[in-house]
Amino acid sequence: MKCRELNELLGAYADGELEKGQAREVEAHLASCPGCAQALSRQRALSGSLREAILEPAERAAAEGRFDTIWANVESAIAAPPPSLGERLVAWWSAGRSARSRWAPALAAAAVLVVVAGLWAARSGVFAPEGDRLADALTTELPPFAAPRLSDEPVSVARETSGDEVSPGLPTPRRRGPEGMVAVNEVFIVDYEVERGTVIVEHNPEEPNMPVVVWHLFNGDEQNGGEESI
Amino acid sequence: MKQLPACIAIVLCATITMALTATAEARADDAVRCRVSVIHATSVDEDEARIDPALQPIADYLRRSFGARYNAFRELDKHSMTLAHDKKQTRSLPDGRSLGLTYKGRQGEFRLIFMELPHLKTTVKVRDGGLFFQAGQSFKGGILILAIHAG
Repeated sequence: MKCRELNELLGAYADGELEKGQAREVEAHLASCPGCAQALSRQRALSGSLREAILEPAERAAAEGRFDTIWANVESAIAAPPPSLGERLVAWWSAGRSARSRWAPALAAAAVLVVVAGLWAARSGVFAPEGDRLADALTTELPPFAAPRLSDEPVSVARETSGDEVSPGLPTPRRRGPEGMVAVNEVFIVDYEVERGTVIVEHNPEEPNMPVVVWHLFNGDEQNGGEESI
Repeated sequence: MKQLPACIAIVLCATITMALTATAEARADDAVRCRVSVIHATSVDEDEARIDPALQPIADYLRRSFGARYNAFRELDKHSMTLAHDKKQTRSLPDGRSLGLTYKGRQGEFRLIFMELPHLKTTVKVRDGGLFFQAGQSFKGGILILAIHAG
């Protein structure tokens, strides 16, 4: 018999559950193998502890006819509804209130402050450098207009101006951008002031997915534009 | 009475949370990120027509808005800036002009952006992520187009 085979039988041997033939083989191996003999000692010690802790009280209860009492307790426990979360919390709080009373406010405050500090730091960018340097650093790694923003809002009616007409507040449609492209959100020209040239706010209602173009022209033709041509 | 300090601590922390959150939101409202792409649009022979790969995300818009006259678009420069409320930022353009942008605050769901170019001042109301073009200045046989993307 090898150690591995004996190991599988050790528990049964310690409990005296092996047949005589198997038991003799185990004993022969144990006589020549100090390691397995030590394992048997440990197994017996464990079995003894278990017996002392569990089996003997049960046997005593059985001998004393106390099973009825035990079973009655089990039945009553099964029949009673489990305590609610609130009841358990109240019980927990009441049980250790005096011990916790000193630390609970501090722990609660600390937990909330940690959460608050995390939120604040994340939202305000307190750990990041400020100003344009930050924006530049962030965006130089990104392709321009990389993040498409798609709007599910319905397309509204667009109006068009041409020539010198510019309507302050000219609405342009709220649009859904093609997949993978920048969506053109609603843009309004609130007001304008032109000292020279012509301003045309161009939007083609037949192309509702196109951005507004604010043209600033001289002599009405951008090809010939420029201050020098005035 | 022993629970009173815990209640006070929790209320205090909740108040601090709300205050900090409101502060952070107000701070976010006080600035808007703006990206400006300076584009040179020209009209070239068909075999030379191209759109700068850097402009690919807005290539279709360029083609459809300006394609009737121009068939080549090249990004000359790009600027990213965080516009703080009422603090003008200026950027030089390739033609020597100066572009000024000022964030004028929120108006409902919109951001107000004041744009200044020589002889032109305009206020644009745009949602976060909104894109618009400014064009018209002649430059080296074509025109300059500013693609302004807010948010």
